[in-house]
Amino acid sequence: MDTIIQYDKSEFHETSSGIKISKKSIIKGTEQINVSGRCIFFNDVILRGDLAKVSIGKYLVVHEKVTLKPSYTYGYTKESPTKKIIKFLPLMISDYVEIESSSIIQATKIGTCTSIGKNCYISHRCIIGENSIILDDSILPPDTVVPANSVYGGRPAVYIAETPESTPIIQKQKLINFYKNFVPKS
Amino acid sequence: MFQFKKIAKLPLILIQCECGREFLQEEMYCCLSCQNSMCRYCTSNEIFCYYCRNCGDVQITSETSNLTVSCSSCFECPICKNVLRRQIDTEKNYGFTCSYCFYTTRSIGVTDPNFQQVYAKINNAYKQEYEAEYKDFQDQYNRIKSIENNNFLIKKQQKNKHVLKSLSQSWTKSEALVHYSNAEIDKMTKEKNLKVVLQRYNLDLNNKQVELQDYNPSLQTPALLPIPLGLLSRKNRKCRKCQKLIFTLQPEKNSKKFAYSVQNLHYDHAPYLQIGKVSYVNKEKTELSVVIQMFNKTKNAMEYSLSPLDQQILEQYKLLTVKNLPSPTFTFNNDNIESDVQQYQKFEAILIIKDATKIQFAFSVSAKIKMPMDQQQLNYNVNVYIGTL
Repeated sequence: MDTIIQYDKSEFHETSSGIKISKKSIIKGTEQINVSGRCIFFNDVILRGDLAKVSIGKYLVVHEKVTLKPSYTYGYTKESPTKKIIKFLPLMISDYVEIESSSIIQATKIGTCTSIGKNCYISHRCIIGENSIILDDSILPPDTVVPANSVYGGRPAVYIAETPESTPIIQKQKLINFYKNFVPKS
Repeated sequence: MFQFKKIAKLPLILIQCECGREFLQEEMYCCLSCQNSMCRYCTSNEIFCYYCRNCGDVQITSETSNLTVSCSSCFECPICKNVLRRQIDTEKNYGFTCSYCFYTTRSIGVTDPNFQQVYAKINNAYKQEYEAEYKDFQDQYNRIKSIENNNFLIKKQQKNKHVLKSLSQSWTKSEALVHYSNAEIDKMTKEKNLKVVLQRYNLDLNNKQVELQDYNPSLQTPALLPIPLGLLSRKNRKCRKCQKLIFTLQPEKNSKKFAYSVQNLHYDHAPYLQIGKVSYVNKEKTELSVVIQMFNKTKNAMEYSLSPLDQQILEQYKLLTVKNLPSPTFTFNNDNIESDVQQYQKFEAILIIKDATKIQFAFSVSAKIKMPMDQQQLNYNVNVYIGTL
């Protein structure tokens, strides 16, 4: 039984492609942000598109108090060949991703049909494979690679288990139904 | 393996396997030749390949003959078990560091301007640390083998005494024919100060247990060498009864990804059940109505039939009665597959509840799949859990 979540139309912006963003969220650098459609951004979400390009797929659900920030490396440029400069890397989030509340994400890539738990900290330059689950209260150190079909958790996050073969089906159904049942108050 | 049943919220629909375990509808597998749906514990696994979780290096079991247990290029932190990454010093020496607990191989002295030499240094350090123990183990093993052989020979001698009497006069006593007792073995270990790695040498020598000294690791300083990263495996699934493949993997060309070439999920061959609405019918809250929806999410036409469980099972598990089950057969015909329209049927089941804290009822569903050549049938039991209201 899918629970219907009703929201105030006055508190959310809605675009023609089906993106629902709350007015209390902070989004910077909208020129560099590319969203496919049918995404939901709840209150107090921070999305930093001013640092680097952000590309987001469809059916993304971002809960309260999440920060999405592109990751960085140290490098040299022609202008300053001796001094180290911070370079920001683009952030790529694929389709059917769910990010629970109060988590901080600085990864470079998040694969399809993944779910990230509450109070997670995903450090810079992490790569999360498809069909994977990251449990609540976990910390991924920098440069970790989460393979596909895996469950990671702990501090630091460590491989725990394998996900079943039907995770893409479960995750797609869950997020499509969540989007359908996220309805404005009549 | 992860179970989605732990995360799922009530109300729930779970399928009961023959072994008694319950899983979500999407997590069940089906074997069409056995006409049975089964859980992950009722299938057998066959390893297809080994892969490293960090670098993605793959070893397919059918192609390679020299399979390794750990990755040759990746290491794990001995303190926090995080994967190590490369580091360059200000002096341009390569090494490994942990980005979580800041462990470095520089503390051990394993750094080198040539990165490949770092691997060689780690391998040499492992050999030095465990070489002494390996030699001791080999000596102990050879000694115990010789004792066993001696006892075996003595037994033979005792059987053929009359033969021995004539021969023993010519033979001189050698160490090989002496039977060592427990006290003598203890003396020998103390005299030679032999070390024993683990308590693995409790062997029966003519029904006498030999217990040697334990190795005390706390006396030595711990070696903080990086641990080689263990490989993970991807598996194929087979039915335990008929040994036919349910899930098989296939590597994609020019990539490290894998796709499933054969996949038989219960979801693809059975009607999908969903709970629509739960509400009380009476003011007294003794009768409950549950609306259950059935979807055909496959491309094939489907015929299904519902049947209530036997009264013995209901009494055994204290299950409740179900009234007003719909007509026994109903056909799904999915003509509009492209437009993504799915047919479904609704029916109401009215229950009489006894205990308000836990409500559950069950009925069995059997579905016939109309494939082009055959008509195949799947039988399985469904349990519906509603929870508190």
